[in-house]
Amino acid sequence: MTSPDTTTYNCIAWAYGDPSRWFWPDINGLYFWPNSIPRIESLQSFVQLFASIGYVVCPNGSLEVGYEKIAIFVKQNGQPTHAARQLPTGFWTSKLGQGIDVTHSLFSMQDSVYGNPATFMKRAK
Amino acid sequence: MNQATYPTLQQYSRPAAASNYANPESLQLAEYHRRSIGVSVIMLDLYTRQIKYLFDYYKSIWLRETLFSSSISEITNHPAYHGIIALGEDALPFIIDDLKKTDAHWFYALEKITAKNPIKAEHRGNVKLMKADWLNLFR
Repeated sequence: MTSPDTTTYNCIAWAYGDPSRWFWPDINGLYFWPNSIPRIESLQSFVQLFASIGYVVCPNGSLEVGYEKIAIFVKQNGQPTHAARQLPTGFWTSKLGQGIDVTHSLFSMQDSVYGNPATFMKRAK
Repeated sequence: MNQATYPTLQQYSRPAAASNYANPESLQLAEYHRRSIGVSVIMLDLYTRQIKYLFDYYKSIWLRETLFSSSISEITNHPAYHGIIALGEDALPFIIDDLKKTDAHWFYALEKITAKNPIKAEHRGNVKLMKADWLNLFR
């Protein structure tokens, strides 16, 4: 555990690197989502979100020197649920919804309430 | 001396003052109180306590079952959250009181109940500022 519970930011914001707000493309328009990206709860929208800050899709979550990676999780129905960001150690950091931040292995998140990683993305550090 | 007793939530079906034609199951709780009980201070207090009980009950379920969710859609579509919305304006004092103490995501519920949205566009997603926008409205 790397932080206490807080409801002021979520996993998407944490992976994005902006813990000042809650990121989600809710149809009611109450929460933050960049205007340039479709406000749709789809994997593609989340990929576009991270692409907007320099990430590109990559094949896996293995540690690559000089790159930082994120993983976007989806449920079996394809609904995005979670994002995690890779640390320089190769472990991952996640904000668990309205709960705590944790450091974890990718394996520990597989088949979880968040589903499984559907897309990995990377950008040069 | 007879001790006055108040019915428990489970026992509460129809007060002694209600007519035989009152059918509480077919009425919403608030309407039922207006038709059958009037503005008795004691009954209003009991009604408020019932609302508070339901609010606390639903809130505890909602928070527990959405703790790990990042999806605002999941959080605000939870049945317990909608149970609070269904309490209507009578739940507002409890929602506002909770919002003052916590950063819980009451914004959708407040908008549904009040049909208002005081959140400034530039504050979207910033829970502290969204909270301030709502508390300013109720000041």
